[in-house]
Amino acid sequence: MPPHMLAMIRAEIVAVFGRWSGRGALVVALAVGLLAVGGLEMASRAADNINANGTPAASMLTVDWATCVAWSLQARNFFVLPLLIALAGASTLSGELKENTLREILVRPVPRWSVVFAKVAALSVLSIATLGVTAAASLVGGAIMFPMEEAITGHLMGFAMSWLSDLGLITMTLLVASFSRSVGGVVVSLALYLMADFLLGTLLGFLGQLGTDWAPIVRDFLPGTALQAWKDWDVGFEPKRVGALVVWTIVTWVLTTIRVQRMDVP
Amino acid sequence: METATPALVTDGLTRRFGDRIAVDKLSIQVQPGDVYGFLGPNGAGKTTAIRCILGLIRKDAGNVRIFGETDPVRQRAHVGAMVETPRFFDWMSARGNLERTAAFAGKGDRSDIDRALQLVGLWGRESEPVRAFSLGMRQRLGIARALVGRPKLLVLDEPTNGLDPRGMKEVRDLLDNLAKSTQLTIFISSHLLDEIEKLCGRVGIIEHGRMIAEGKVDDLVAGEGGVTAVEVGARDRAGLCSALEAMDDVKLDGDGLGGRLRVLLAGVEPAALNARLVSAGVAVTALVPQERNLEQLFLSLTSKEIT
Repeated sequence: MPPHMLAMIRAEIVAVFGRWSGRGALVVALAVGLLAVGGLEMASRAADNINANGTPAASMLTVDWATCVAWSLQARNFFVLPLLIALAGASTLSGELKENTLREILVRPVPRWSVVFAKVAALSVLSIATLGVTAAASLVGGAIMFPMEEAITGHLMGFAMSWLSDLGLITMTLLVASFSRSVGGVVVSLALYLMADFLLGTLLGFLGQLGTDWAPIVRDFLPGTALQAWKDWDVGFEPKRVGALVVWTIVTWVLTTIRVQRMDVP
Repeated sequence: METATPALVTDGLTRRFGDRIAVDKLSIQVQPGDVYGFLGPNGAGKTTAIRCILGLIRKDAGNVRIFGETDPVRQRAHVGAMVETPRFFDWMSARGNLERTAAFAGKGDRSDIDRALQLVGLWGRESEPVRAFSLGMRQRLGIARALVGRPKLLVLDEPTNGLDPRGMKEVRDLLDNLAKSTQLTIFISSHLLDEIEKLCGRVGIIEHGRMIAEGKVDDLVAGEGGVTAVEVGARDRAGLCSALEAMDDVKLDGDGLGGRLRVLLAGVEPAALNARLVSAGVAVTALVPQERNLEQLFLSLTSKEIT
């Protein structure tokens, strides 16, 4: 470990937060937290005026602090923010390869693995910051707007678990990015892969329902399914998915390091 | 007497791209304090060699030692480098970019960055975003970045690339000043032979990835087998051109003064050229020998037409 590792991470954090993808992710994270509060408030007001088969819709909708936090967690992890995190990841490797700014740090006395480490660490800080902003907005907004009836521990664990999911996404993004100089190409490739992964997961789930024993096991270990490990925290811990996520994170991190270690930098 | 550890040694450095050998058993030795010019025509392998030396690309064979170090990471602790056109985070200030470099270099505090900015004449502009900088300013900032951490060896690949004559002079003056005011060893590749001749004490010339000449500039220029340049005038300019073009061992090198033609001679005495021209029916009105310089040497070594 280089003695100046912390300085390298700080420099990478400055770069990650300086790019529009990093700043945009923070703005979107705040908007998501506030929208969860506003959306739940609007939904509860609308429910007061709606009857479903004689039952007031309001009685079917739980409107409290914990629900608000749960909504914000779901919204935070739905598509846009993971996309921005992936974009930030692609910019930090593909973008720097394309712009030749990576070359400028690789001629410095640092092993390449430590450069990858610094980038992963900085992107993790971005992930934590976005999760923190969303959580804070929904916690504060929810506490002001709604009754604090149910415990939110499970949802907060969901936020914490989302960081591990983001870490997996970051290392997958960096692995793809180490093969391309196109930031857009990396994000599109990753999105296409995750769509294919989702379709395969659906197929395996269907096979499982038909009685194929191995299909659900394989499905849980697909990278795309593993990235959804955060979803399980409000219904209970699922070690298989978390284990798969940890495995995929380590594998993609190691592969990225090997790739960056060996690649020729123009 | 104990000899100083060489600043840079490459021994049989080789890099292939498929079947093409870009750098072919290249051996260089640069002594501490030298200003070493690394010359070669386009595609000769200069940039590839520099990238191998800096560890940016893998080498297929050979060794690189920098101040005796063989470990690439330890080697780079002694080196400041600028490879081709320097690139920056454009949205970041000049100082911000240098701070980033200092963070990865593991050395270089605020005073070090201030010194680098002062040396390249960007003091007072350090808070501006790099996007506002001209090409010349970026080039100077690139040199400042290479100086962060006070390296002992400065490796510069085409530092005047893309600059206008004023920018070229600025960079040349800067390097001249650096070479004289510091104990830096400078390894510089350039196409600008005139600049190299003024700056460097020693040069190496490569072609097709191979070292074809190396030594002190004065010794090489004064050495045997070089090229003599003359300016030739004749009443019948077209006839003169035709006669010169028919000769294998001379090369037209553009216009000289007063309507004369500049001609490079490989192993041909000016008097012999005059005799040939007269026998070819050309009425020579002037034949003015030119002083030999690095450019003529370079052309004689790398020009297929006259070697």
